[in-house]
Amino acid sequence: MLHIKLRVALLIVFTFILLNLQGQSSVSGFVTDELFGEAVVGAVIKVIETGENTTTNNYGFYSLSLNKGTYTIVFIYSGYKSDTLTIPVYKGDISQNIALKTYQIEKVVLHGKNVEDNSDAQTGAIDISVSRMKRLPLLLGEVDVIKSVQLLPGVKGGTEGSSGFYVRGGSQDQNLVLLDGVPLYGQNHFFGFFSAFNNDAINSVQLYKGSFPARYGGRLSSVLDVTMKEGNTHKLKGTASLGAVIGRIALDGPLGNKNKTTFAISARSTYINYLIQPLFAAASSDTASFTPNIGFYDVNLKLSHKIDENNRLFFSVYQGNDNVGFIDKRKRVLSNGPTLETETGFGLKMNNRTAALRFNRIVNKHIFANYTLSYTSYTLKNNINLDYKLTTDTTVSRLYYNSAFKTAINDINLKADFDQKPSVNHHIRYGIGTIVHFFNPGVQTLKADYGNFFRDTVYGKNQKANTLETAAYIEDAMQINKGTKANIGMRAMHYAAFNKSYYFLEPRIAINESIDSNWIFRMSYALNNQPVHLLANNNLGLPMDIWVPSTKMIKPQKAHQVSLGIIGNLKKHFQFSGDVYYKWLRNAIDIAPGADFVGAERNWQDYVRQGNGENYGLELLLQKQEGKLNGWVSYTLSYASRQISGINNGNSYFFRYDQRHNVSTTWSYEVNKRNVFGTTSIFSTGYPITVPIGQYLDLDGNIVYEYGGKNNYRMENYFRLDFNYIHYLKPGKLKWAKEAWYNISIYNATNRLNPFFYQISNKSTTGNGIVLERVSIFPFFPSVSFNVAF
Amino acid sequence: MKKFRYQSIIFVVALVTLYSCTREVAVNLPPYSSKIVVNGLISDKDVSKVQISSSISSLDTNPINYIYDGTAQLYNEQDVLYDILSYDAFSSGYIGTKPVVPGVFYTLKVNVKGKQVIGTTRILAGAKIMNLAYQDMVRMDSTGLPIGEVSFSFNDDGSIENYYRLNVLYYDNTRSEFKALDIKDNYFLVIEAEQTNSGFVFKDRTFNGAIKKLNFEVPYGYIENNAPYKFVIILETLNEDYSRYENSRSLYNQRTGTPFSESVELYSNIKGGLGIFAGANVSRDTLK
Repeated sequence: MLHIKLRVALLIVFTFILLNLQGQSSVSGFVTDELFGEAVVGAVIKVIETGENTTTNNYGFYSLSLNKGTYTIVFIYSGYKSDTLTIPVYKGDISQNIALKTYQIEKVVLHGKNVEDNSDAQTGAIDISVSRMKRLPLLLGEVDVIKSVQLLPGVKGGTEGSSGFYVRGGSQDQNLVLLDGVPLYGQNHFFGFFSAFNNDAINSVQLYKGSFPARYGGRLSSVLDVTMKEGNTHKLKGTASLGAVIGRIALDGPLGNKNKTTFAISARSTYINYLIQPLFAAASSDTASFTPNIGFYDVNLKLSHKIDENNRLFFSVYQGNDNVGFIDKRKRVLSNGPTLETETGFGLKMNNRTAALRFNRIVNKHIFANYTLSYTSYTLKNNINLDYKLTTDTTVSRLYYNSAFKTAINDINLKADFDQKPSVNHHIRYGIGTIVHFFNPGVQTLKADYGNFFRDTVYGKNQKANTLETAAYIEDAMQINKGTKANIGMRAMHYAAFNKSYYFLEPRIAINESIDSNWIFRMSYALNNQPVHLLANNNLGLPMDIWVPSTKMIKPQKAHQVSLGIIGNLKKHFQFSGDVYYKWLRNAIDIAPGADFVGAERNWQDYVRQGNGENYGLELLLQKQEGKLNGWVSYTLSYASRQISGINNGNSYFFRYDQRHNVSTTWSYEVNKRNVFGTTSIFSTGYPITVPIGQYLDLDGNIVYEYGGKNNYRMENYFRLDFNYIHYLKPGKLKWAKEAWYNISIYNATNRLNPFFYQISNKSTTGNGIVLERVSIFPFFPSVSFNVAF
Repeated sequence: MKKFRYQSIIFVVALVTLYSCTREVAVNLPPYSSKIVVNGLISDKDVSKVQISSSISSLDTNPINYIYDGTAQLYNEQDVLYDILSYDAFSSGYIGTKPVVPGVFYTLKVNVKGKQVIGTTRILAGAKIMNLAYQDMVRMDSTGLPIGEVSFSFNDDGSIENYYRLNVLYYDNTRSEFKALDIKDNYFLVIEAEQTNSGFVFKDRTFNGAIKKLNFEVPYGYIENNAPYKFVIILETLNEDYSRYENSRSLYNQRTGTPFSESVELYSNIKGGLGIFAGANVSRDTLK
């Protein structure tokens, strides 16, 4: 029945589109960077005579539908000089490509457009300037997309140093993170201290909070859409960076015929191993050795090929890998003669991989099509190895224990997306896609022989699952009248797993109403469903995370969200926005008491509970977009709670990401072309934790704790102040480099010992009385990175 | 050497900067209201036993003492007084005078200084151990020595969900005493059971209404043919309250103190207080 309704709705829409095509011509083309030929994503194209505007898509393509006449069309994007053209439209469609020139002095802004150019009527949609990110103070010298996102209103980081992000009271898995349109499941490196994104590889970043357009789905809280650079069409160029523990290099340029094929490759890696392994090797001997293994790397590669004016092909790959572990070997002769050799090993490995093949086609001047075939894979493994070998004159005996745990998720995704500007007042997007998810929540292999204990077993094989997620959508960004814009869409989703099918219809409505020439009132509503879930014991971003499917027992999570807000221009280049939101959650997931997902003896479904949730809050943002001093201040007031049977005795409790107040500021001051100062500060009230309130005797007379309720206490307030200074060397200082600069950062300049986590221990010798200990990391933390562009 | 010194400096700096700092912080909790704690067990083979104490604030460093001046009374389903438990200084608890009847709900009412708490529970009919046997060689271990096997079975009542606690003891002829056989690597127990201080607790999820057979390997040298005994099997059919308590206690012991795990509250069925009032039906068989 659902399928029939959807077909009828699509038929009506297509008929409407066809009828509106009569008597209009299209002006379309690509907007690129003049210097490098890269697509400019999110550029605003405005028709002065009609007031119509549109934006370029993720490939830099735009399309306008205009009646006969002569029009003044302006092309605008932050960091570039606007371009204005006069275009006569009389007969036939017009192809008009534009190459925008960059400013000599860079304007770095949060939003890529002014208030009145916000044609995509989306409450809570933010373009994040990649160049702005480079000016933020750094942790260990590393530019981080996620840490930039954490400074926005409504977005919170996890604990100290974490590269997770939590939007409007939601958990990390409720964010759809896309890299060139491919979902990325592993979003962090190195226990969450660094994000998976190499800034050198990124072209644009967009964040949608809550009511994201119908073309996105499968998550409840946000969409972080990251597109990679394609490579410039003119000449080979690159950048390199050397930081405290990480080195990066990036190259991009044309391949073969300059106008047809480009490439962009970037890589980064830690070099801790190169420093510490020789030290341990030097200290090792024939009887004892210790070999640590710590580090991560990632590689981004993108190939772009222009087949002809209407057809382009893209291939992009991401590979990230984390490795932490050690091997300890000992050898000694026992007092009674035999030789005992022992080997102890521990390893934690994370592998994150995506690959995508995309085909762009300009079907006609009204329709832009994108076809994508992609693959994504996330694997986490840990292993423990104990090996004992006893050698006598006559015998050799061996005892060993090897435990290996693996969890993984793999997706194959096929989708088709269409972008159409059928008339002046409508910009329609529609498409269909299907994802096959291959889940492996946890398989543990145990091999051991201790004489009287023997095991060669695999646990958890029966937890593997394949599921199918199919979705179709249609959305229309429309100009209702001169002062009113709307984006109205519908997404239909089908999810199948374990002989169970779920069907969803997800309406999405966003409306902008101009109050006057400077202020816009906006409101939105969205219904979202989420069929995949992340099980994590904690909010530390530690690699103990397991992705699991919805099943007959564990239903997809659901959220209704409404938002109201205003956005407007103030004097002297200041822009203000304020939003309130309310989110109802159904089938919200939380972890049962005592859950531990490392090891596969138990079915993960036994540890998951579902119930209701409620998130609401206020977000304020004041930003200065132009001038030597620019930046922003954001404030968030928020509440997030859950009520789930089997947790907290079924009573309501504060959700783990409930953080009442959050104030973030970031500013940069450009002294001159070669010197820039920056500062970032964050203040937030603490996350909830569970602390014992009482103690008593159990059945055996042992003292046990009474907690009195989940999340009954608050971490201490968090405050951090960072500084940075960027100094560009004089041009020509390094003959082989076009540009070179230092970035000196101080992370946590006030040396405040912010909480990383808390541990509870006993106070007295009788074992009574608790002590709460705060564990902190990253005190006053300076770092330097040296960067070159060539 | 210079290069090595340079690397050393970098390594030391890296260690220092990544060093985590631990500080004790003040805990500001609201005033704590003490609760009566009751830990009581009933059985069809033994008298009822209850211990009464009070909970204290988590910040309190004073020892917790058992209460000797309270009252503990057992009532049957008709709310008729069934048994009065008296304080026994030796065990620091209250002891009843008779066992209970399986299948009947009993309510324990405890009064301390005018404050009353209540717990209600019943024990079940219970499974009986059958076919207890021992084979002295079922396979060889990695050193070429024979491994034996003790086995038994029991019949599960399919009309209700049952929980069991199992202990398997072997007779140490050298010390003339029974000792616990290490059975934690038994495949069924690994998958289905929680190991507690009092034995392995599991439920009838995979054998509801069926006969369940269990086998346990016995390493060479444990059993002597001339010993007066070989094994004792103790199979307790726990009521649901007891099983939930033991499961929660096992999780509590595993997770408490680990900063990255969800906290676990012990299961309690004492209304108005804390603790557990539960029982078990015991089946015991000895192989000579």
